[in-house]
Amino acid sequence: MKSRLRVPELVAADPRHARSAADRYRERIRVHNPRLNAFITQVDPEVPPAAGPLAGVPIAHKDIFVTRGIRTTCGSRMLADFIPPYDATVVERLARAGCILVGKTNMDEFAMGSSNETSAFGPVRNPWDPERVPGGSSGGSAAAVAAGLVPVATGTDTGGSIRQPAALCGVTGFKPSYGRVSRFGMIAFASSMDQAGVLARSAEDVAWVLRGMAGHDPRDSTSVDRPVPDYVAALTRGIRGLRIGIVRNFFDDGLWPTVADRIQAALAVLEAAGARLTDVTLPNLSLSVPVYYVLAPAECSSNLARYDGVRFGHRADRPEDLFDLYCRSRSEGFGEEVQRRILIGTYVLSHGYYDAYYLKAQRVRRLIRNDFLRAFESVDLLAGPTTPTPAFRLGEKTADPLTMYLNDIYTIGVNLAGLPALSVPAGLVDGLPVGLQLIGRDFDEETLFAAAADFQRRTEWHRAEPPGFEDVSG
Amino acid sequence: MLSAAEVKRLSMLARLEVRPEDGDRLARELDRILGFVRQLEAAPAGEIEPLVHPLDLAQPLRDDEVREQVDCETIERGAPDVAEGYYRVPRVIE
Repeated sequence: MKSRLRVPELVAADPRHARSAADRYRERIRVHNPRLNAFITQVDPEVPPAAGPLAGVPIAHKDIFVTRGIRTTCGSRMLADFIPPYDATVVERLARAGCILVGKTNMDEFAMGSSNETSAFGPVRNPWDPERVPGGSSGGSAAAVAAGLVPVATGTDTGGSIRQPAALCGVTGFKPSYGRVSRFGMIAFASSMDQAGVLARSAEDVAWVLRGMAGHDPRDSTSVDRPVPDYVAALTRGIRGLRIGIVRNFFDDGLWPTVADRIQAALAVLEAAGARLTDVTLPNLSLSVPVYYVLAPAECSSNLARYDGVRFGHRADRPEDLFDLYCRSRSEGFGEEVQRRILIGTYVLSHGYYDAYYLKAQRVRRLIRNDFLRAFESVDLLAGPTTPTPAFRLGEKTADPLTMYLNDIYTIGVNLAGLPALSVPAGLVDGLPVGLQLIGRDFDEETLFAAAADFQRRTEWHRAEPPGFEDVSG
Repeated sequence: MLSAAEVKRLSMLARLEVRPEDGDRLARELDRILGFVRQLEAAPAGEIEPLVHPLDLAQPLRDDEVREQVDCETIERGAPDVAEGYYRVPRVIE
């Protein structure tokens, strides 16, 4: 299989290739980004002497990963001028593996959104149809990979923020198990669910990059201290003999019949490859969106308390007193959706409501995780659609926050449970990409890679390029 | 329905300034979201142990030693207002 990440081989043959690869992608960014707004900051890269397994691979980091000396905004006015004094572990490790940073990608503000429309730097447009959203919150990374502006990009996934934009832009997006990748230097939203991952054209490319960034980090005590398996080696294991549970809950009323058809066709490919398919029902899964919209705002209201206009970030002009300084700095710095979530989080954590909302949501969170664990007693993977519909139009869902929240209905349960999952391209509906979601057991990323790589050896959907963005030089 | 007074109290707790003209709209939006999550009331969770975090981790301890330092000057460069090594804020004591 031809990989987008042939760069290390080429660099090994001729070290000058690192510079020319970086220049070629920078040129594509220059030409195409004005139509997409996928990047908040473009970087004129330093190209060090080639070394490492990813030598010379151009990469874009979601603007939630802090980069030393390079502006990191998190899609917010609050951090519009923030220059971090250190690198996130993900950034540091991928640089050490040889990746060349070419830019920071646009995103929903503080990763709160499913369409990239909450970014203070304007919405990203979907390369498949610029009138439509790319998904979110890692929409800039997904659009950049889909349009061939960069071969690989990082993302973060708290409720679907890698898988959902990957599905809507027709790329491969991987969210590892909670604890697999260090969160050090990844700006916090909901700490018990946030996890870093990768968006690329193929499962093979993702495997190379995830291998470079996974593993224990003493600076993040929730990163798990256990060996990182060789994900690249897992790519050749194949699907044969795997037991795959089809999550019946995902084929409910909200799923477009045309999307369901694409997913059924993809499941037939898995079956033809030797997987044994069975139906699975997760009884409490329907409660995952309400659970999430208690717990994620609660955690966010606490995490975002640090933006006080005193130590870094936006400060209001001429404050009357300290209280006024806090309130106005925060209200000027945060957009509407972030403020709504802070207020919801403040409400559910406040005296008199804590038990009814926060504690209850945590109890139901365990029920949802238990549903997954029970399913994995009889299957190796779970499968279903990543989203109920293809990409929707810009502005279509901004009027009602709840409508937007329901877009993550198939992805959120995975974050509550802490499981690894990915989305792979599974076809087009009306010219727009559709994603097949696969969910794995705790820390069993290898089986996901095995299945996704085999699926991509049997399908061509991951090679489809949006019209007008064809990468003629391959 | 959340009252305007409740929204005002919440925003005070969250250190956010809600403009009076936004109060009603915000109350409606918050109310709708809270109404949606209230379906959890009927969930059969009983006394099941709350899941705070997906990993069962003990708090790891490390030796108390200096490892890495970002110097004060670098940190201060990111601050809106500093003087003589301190963050400067409006007068707190009258």
